[in-house]
Amino acid sequence: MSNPVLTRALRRETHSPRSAATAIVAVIIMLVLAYLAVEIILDLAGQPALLVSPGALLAATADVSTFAPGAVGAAGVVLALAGLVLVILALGPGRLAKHAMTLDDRAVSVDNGVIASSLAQRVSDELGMDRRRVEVGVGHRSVDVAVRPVLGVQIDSDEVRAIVDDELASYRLARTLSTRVRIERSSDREIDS
Amino acid sequence: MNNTKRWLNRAFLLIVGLVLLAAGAAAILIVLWRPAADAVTAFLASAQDVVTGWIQSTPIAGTETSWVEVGALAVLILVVLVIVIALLATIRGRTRGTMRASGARNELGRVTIAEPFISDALKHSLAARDDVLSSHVSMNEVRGTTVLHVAVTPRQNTDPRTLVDAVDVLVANLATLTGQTTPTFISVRSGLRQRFATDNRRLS
Repeated sequence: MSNPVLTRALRRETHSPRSAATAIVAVIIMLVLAYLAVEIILDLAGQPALLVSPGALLAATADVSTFAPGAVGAAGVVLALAGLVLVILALGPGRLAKHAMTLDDRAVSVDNGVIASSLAQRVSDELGMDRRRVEVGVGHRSVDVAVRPVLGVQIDSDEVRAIVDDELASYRLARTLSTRVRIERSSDREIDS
Repeated sequence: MNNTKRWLNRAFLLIVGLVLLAAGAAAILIVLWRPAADAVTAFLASAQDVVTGWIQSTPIAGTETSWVEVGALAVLILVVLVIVIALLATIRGRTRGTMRASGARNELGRVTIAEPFISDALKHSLAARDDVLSSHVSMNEVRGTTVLHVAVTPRQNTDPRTLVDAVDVLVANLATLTGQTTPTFISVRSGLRQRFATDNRRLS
């Protein structure tokens, strides 16, 4: 797919717009500013402050280095961590749980959940197992398959890997995913329904 | 697919994040390093002197308050308004595109097909499929170009490739009918409804 418009559409679909984080931060800032505005209005009207008058707030800010070091340090750590989180959100790719599929001149995105359930169904069909004994997780770079066979049944992890790789190849995803297979042991008390 | 101003969101988060990071680092530095504490104290004291000077030199006649406070209030209200407007701009939502397709002219004239028909045609075709729980068809503007967006929610365990190929055929048929090829984006989505619907029994 070489259409720049579709490339952009696909990127918008597969990456977070950060709208939620922006809205939360904006609302918090507005609340803080609104509080400051209320304190100024009360001071202009000659009324007692809600919490701290603007003059007292200004004086306290100038004396911050005289506050208890523990409190200042703790506040500093909290602010720095919050700032770091926001910087990471701003600069990080924000990839969503989706994958792109190749399809000639169209843009296609598929949720990881759709890929996972389809893979799990194929594995359970091929192995003749209950669908509930197969769990699949799909990530940005890999697929994790956990198979829990009935007690006494041997499952070859290479066979499972081959099934998953074959199914993945049929999807023609834009990114090649590696496959991890885990054969988990059933508990002795488990009864297969 | 929407037209959220993503770069605006990220720029806003970056600026606020850097300010918080700088403030936090300064607070930690004050605690850990005496010279930093002294420098910050001196800076804040001089800043307080400057602001106090402004307040004392701009009294509001007949009161004990200052025009500086009025100015600060105006700035706060302005900043809040800017944030509200920016928030609304970032969530402007989908920009609807329009599509009117004109088929080939014949002796009867030219057939023009409007968007609602195109959306309905695709949705009805998809609804007839057992492996499709729901679908949504829309026209969106991406960089000034109208893009057809087909969003499909399949039943659990549905092969996404088979579904995507089927949608591709439908869209190709639509292009033949209308005589117009529109850039198309297909999204296959999982959702809450998918979890509670019956599975798609695949014949292996």
